Amino acid sequence: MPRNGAMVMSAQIATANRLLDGAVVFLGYDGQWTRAIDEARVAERDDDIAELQAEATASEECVGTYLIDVDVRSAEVSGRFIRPTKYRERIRAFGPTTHPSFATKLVPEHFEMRADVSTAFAAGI
Amino acid sequence: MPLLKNNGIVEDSWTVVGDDDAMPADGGAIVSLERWQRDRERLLGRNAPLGLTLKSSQSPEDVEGLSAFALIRLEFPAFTDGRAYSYARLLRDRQGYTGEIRAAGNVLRDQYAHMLRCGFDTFEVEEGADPAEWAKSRDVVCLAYQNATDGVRAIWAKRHGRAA
Amino acid sequence: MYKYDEFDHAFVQSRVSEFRDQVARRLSGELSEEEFRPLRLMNGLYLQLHAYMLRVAIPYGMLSSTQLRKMADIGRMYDRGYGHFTTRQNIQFNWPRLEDTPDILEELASVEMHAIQTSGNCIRNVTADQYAGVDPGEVDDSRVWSELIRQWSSLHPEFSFLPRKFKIAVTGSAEDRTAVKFHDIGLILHRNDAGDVGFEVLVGGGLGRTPMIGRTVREFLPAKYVLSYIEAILRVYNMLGRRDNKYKSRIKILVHETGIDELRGMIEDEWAAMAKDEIDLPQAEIDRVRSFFVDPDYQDLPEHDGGYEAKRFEDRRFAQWVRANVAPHKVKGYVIANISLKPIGGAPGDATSAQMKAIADLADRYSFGEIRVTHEQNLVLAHVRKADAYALWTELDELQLGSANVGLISDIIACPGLDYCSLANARSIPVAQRIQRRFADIARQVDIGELKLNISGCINACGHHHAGHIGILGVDRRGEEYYQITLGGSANEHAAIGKIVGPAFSSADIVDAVEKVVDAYIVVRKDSERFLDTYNRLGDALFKEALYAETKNAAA
Repeated sequence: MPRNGAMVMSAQIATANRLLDGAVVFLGYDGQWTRAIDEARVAERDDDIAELQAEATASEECVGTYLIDVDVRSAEVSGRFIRPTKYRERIRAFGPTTHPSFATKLVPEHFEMRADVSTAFAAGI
Repeated sequence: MPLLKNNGIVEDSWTVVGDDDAMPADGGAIVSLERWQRDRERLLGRNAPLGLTLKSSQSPEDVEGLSAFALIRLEFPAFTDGRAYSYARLLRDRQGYTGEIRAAGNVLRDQYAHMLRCGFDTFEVEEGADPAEWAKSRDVVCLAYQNATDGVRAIWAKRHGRAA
Repeated sequence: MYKYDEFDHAFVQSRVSEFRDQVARRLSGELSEEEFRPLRLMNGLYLQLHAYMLRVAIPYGMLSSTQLRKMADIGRMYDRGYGHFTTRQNIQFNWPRLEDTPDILEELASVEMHAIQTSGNCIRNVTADQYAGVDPGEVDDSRVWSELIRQWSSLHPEFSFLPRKFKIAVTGSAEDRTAVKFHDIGLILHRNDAGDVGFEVLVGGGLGRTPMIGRTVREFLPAKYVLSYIEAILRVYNMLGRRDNKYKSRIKILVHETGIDELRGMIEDEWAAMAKDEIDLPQAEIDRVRSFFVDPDYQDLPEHDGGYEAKRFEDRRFAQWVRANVAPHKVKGYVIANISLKPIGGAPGDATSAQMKAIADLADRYSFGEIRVTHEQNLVLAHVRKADAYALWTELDELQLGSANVGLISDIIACPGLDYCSLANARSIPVAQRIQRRFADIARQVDIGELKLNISGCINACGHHHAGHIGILGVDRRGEEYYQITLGGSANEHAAIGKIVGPAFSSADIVDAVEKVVDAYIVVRKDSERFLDTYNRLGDALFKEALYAETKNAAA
């Protein structure tokens, strides 16, 4: 049911770590792995999910592949916003909550400590 | 299965015989511990080389009559199961076993150096294993901090001129 | 400190070449991830939540200033400008690229360092007393024996595929700062009546899912037999340790299931049958290694330093720092200075590259170029003249390294937790920060006194929460972070495992809960009892009451 012009769906995306540098990546629509979670290919139906799993695991440029549950919000203006349902996966997708400077995606409510990060970093030491 | 021996691939002259199979008339035959315990007299009567294969849960210390075997085959069900490294060393250093000690199962090139140091002579390897590549893995770490079974002197022995 | 000879250099270099080759074979696809994983683990390279993580070995916690500078450089060039000091005296980098790791290992080798065996089912970093060589009451220098064991354990061909990881600690003082009784093998240095040095040997200590305190297998082992005896223990463990269940594979389970007396019998039988001359070192080698751990060039100073005393009187913050962070030294006119890596609101145990470089420079000026890492994730400058202490502290203070909280409640020991670790159930660093902020007032911290607070993000207990006076364990309850409190643990010579006090607390409530525990102690403590003393005297009833009585009354 649309609310404020946003649609919310439950679905799965594929994630892994890039072999070369360990970066957290998501399988996109073009078969490429992307660091941007909002560009991930979303699968809702069983056959789509199975296909997504198969394609992700077959990839040799990534390791530790698995599927995660996500909520997808689409809005006319802001585009698509994908949010993993488990907090562990949110930390993995958005970055350590203690170091917003390492965020892969700046999601304000994810970084509750943003004013209180490692004091040395804050002090520029 | 190719056999790696003295840094080359050789013909395997041994056969692993199932517990209920007939023994081959001649040639080296490898039996399990269970078969050895069950058919010992008959096996000894056979006029051909006898070998023993041990699972990783079976220590050679528990085997009677080791001297009957020209070959002891130690299994690695997974390369992470490191019990046979101790078994090989005990066979050589404690039980004085001078026959062939063979590594079988999940035997990989990156464990070759460790296995040689522990007293293994031969290795059942995957099809396509390249002895030259295996030799490279063995040679890359040429110094050892410990004495082991292979006679290579530990670094501390070299430091203080301790002969073998 | 120990210096590599040509053998040590060649060994580490060949290991770097080997790993470079293994990485190339992985990137080319010749090695699968399954085959590569144990190989990269043996060089300390994990795949973690966000990225790879490289754990660099700091043997028994000893670093030269050159080495610490290199850590700073690696942090800057290959990582994100910082490193994390661990509860096993190592350092971790959280963001290296796999393709860079051979170069990183090359850089480490250039300063006599490596990442060998900091992971995997093998013998890990041997830890020792951070006050070794300077503690007034020391029996013998634990670093000598740690170095000898380190070499013996390096790429041991027989013990590279153990049932599980294996951790050894050595302590040389009556006061134990190494948590020796929580190690797979704990070695406590003693002297017998004749004055000979030997070890009390303990096995089967550990934390994790099944915390256990080590059991004595040998009351007194003459020191020269330490390697052969350890080899006997390892051989028995390698052959008999469980391999069917990852959570039952440590030697502590073998001790528990076999019984200490029977296990001791097996170890002694194996040891008796060994050709010890092949393993135990000649006295010449022991002497050679010991020669690296002699006293530095101490000056002949009076015990009392007027300037030091004056500053303690004039500068309250310096006085606080001396009181918490400074320990007595065996040499007159010197002190041991602890550098806290637990500033209020920081990530416990983290140091930026700039801080590491600065500490290296301070070590050169004030402590003979030597730094030690403690298992409580702080650093030590072990040879500071009293006359230099104020200048040192002033500089530390400017670097956010002057927190006067060692041993106090804000000196929290914490694992990286779910912010970094793929094994974790809950975050630990934000909880540590919030607790620190609640107790930020230094006067209050001093009033509370010694209180070791440990936080683990999961049951693997890398934060050593079982051994905390107050321990906090992060758990996942119905998809949310919850925190379980244990009380009464202790990691020193009076080793104790903390007891769970009751149901876990939500993330929102955990800090209040800790404060209730502390306040309850303050109310009932006698004289100058520490929290742990009060707990040992009264048990956990009053703390349970403080934590849960309201909920019970509300429900009633």
